[in-house]
Amino acid sequence: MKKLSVILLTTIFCLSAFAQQKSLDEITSFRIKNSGSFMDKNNDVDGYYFYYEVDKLKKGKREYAIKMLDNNLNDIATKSYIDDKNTILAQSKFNNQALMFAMINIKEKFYKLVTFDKSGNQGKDIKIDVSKKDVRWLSMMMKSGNFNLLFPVDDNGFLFNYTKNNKKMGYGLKYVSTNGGESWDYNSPEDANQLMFLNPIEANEKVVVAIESSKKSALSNTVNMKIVVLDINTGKKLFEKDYNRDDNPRLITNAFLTEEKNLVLLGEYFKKGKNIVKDKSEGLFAQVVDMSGNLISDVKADWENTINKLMPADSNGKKKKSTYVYFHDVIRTQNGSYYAIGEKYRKTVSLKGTLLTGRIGSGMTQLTITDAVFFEFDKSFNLKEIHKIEKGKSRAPNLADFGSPQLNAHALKTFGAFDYEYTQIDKDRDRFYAMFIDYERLKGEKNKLAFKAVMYNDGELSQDKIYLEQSKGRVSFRVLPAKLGHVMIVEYNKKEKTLDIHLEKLNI
Amino acid sequence: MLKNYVAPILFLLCFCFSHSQKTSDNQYLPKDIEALEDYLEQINSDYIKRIDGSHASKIRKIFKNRDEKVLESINDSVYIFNDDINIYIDSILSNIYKANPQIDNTNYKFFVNTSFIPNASCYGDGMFEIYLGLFSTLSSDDEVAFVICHEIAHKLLDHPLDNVTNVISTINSKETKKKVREIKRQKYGQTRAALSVIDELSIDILDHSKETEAQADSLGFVLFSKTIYNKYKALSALSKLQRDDDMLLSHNIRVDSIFNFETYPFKPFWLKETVSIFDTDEKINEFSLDSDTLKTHPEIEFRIEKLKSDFSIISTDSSGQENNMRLLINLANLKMIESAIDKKNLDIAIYQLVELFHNKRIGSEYYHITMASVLKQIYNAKKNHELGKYIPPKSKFSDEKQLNKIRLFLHNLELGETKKMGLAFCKANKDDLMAEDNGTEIFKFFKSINQ
Repeated sequence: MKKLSVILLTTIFCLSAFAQQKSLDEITSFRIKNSGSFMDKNNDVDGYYFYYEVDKLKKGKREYAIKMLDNNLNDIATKSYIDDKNTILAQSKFNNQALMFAMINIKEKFYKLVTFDKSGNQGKDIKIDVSKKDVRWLSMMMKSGNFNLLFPVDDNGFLFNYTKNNKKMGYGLKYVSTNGGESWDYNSPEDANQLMFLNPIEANEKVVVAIESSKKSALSNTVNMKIVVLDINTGKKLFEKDYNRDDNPRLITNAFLTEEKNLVLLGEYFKKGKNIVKDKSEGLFAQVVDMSGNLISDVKADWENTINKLMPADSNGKKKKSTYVYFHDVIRTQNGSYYAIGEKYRKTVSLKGTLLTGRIGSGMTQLTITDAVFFEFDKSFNLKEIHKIEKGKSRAPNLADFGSPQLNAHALKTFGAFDYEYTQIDKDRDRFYAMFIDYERLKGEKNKLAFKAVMYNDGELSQDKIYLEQSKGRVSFRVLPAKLGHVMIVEYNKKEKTLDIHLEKLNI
Repeated sequence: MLKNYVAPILFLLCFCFSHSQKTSDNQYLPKDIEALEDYLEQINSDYIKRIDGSHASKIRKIFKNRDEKVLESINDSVYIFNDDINIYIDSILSNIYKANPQIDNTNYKFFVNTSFIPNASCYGDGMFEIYLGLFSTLSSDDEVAFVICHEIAHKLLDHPLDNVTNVISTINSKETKKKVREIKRQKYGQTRAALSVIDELSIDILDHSKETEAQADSLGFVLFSKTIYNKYKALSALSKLQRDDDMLLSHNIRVDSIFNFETYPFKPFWLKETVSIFDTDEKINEFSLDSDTLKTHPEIEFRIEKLKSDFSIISTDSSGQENNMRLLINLANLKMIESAIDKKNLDIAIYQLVELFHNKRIGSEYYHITMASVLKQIYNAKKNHELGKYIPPKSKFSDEKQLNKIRLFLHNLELGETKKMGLAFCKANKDDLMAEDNGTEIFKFFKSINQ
């Protein structure tokens, strides 16, 4: 058990038992700048970091301390790091060979990549000069949630994905090898007349798979998607597949590289000419392409003939036509079956908003989010079953009344309006853990906020639950990501003013 | 001389009647807690009153806080109040006082701490602590008597007050204040400079503390050598503490065979470790202080050599007063197991159970029923998502390799696996479990959750 006082967690860590004298203690207090976890593409946490400012140095420099804990919360290292006073630590990842920290300095206009090898030695820093506009866009993209700034490629290297100001806003993808291989850059064309963004979603020792999205202007809702596959050893483009609005609009949620060296793409498909952001999809698809970009199969499950027939009723026993599903993730299990994880939602009138303004139709609608649904597909992407996980209703005011429910859902997703948190994938044991927050409405009892995990194991789904309050609110809990199959519980006792942090295994 | 043996014989008589493996529940509170609290407050207040000189108020505050901490510890079940153990300690004290009539022991009181760590301490005001772990590390009355003499020497030399005064005056010295002022005037590198000052102060303070330890060894030996105990056992006591310096719990725990059952075989992935971000054998800390690596106690080897040369001890005579200690070890071990279970230190409980069972210090029935009860507690802690509150994770930097193995195993086990393992354990040891009501109850529990 890690028993830490609130002060300890937020401001300082203890240096010496004899630092009792206030003045000495004040001087040696490390000021925390931020903290985070080393999380890989499967949302497995390899460790945690705390970034402190230690000392003011000459010429605008600062000495920082990066304190690192392993995935069992053991203090493993505290490294000294010297940089400019405006340098912030944006993200950090681990690839089994090294740790990489992405630093950003808005004032001095640079990104910096800092690496530490497995012995804890700092490697040569990589500096990338940028403009203030680049950093602003980068910050926006990171907030959207669908942007991997750093992407670890296990036992190979790291991908650093950033925004780059060309004729219009573009992207840069920098690969840094950690196994002695070649490092390279892959950038969007400088003369492109569209805004272009890239998001790496899968990589192995051979290829990098990334989604390239483009739109004409910042305010445009028409987004075209492309899958770009690069050779990881050279950075050369192997092939791309276009899913533009005019010919083949698709919203790609996930991609996997199979043992047969094929690429599996998963997501939602749309009618030609439809908008992937604001229109209703036709259904879900699983497309398999080989490493030359040739189509091997393209299986679809449409709403009308396939999904709706198996769709369970809402908790009130009714099937509403206006109920949609927002898909957060599509998982491929080791036996080849697929699970699409989503939440049901519909656009409703906000009574509270209507009463406040006295009229309907002016920002007074909301999204009502209900049960979680798990679509189970077999190896050939035939829909077998839709599992419903009952959940209390959550409501989020729509950002714009005139937009479609889908457009609002996409927008609200970036604000964390859905109850879905994240999914961890354990390839070794062929399991996944999908996490939600549930506001349980119980008959005859006070409503309870709970952290709910839906787990796939041995072909079955099961659930585990952690209530977020105990003893009439005297003890509150926060549940955060941890190593595979675990959660980090931060337990705060308001009365005793104590904070306990411990890792717990999810119960299967 | 005959009188010297009266107390141990009395102790032995009492002990023979009460000793069995079916220990009573641990008594974490004294029979009359109010009287004890009054006593502690009284000795503390008497002690504080005589503190004067510079920084007296700061020093008084430290001792006052210490008293409050002791009261909290009593209520937190840190101590046990067991008649058998107290009689044993009193019997040794009686011999020490008899041989050293100059000791004014009016306000002395020895508390028994439930920790498995072999240690003892002196609070200065008359309160002493003897840790249960001492009884499982040392093996004779003579060795325990030497450790107690060492603590009494601390009290006679007024070391607790001396140490606190030294810390306070070092921190508040003119020299330190001047250094702090200079640091505050520095525009750059204040923290590093302050850390350097803290390091210097810490080294001075630790040096002083080492000196007082050596002094306590010397005076302690003088007191000890006057008693009936074998004076050469002072050396064996120290060498046993040295043996345990690196790893306290060193018995090889074969988790994969202890929890391997015909109906539920051990799974190798229960001992699988996750990849660590760094491969280093030691913690990396670029802000560490030199003083962090220094120990409060001087190296035991140095202490042994010093005692040998100061007092010309050359013999390694092995005779001594061992009988009472042998009986007490078993009781102390059972109390440590009970305390570990009560505090939900289930990893330590498993270690102690296995070690004692392998060394034939506890019977099969006690071992199997207690282990089944520990498995039930592990199941409940996992179910309530609180195992991590009571059992620390494995740490690659910990010297406690055996404990680490148990921790890794317990944290890797899943709820469903714990449930099955509990039942398999009960089935494999059915006869022992069914011999006692609580064993039967645990068996029923595992049967019911496996249905």
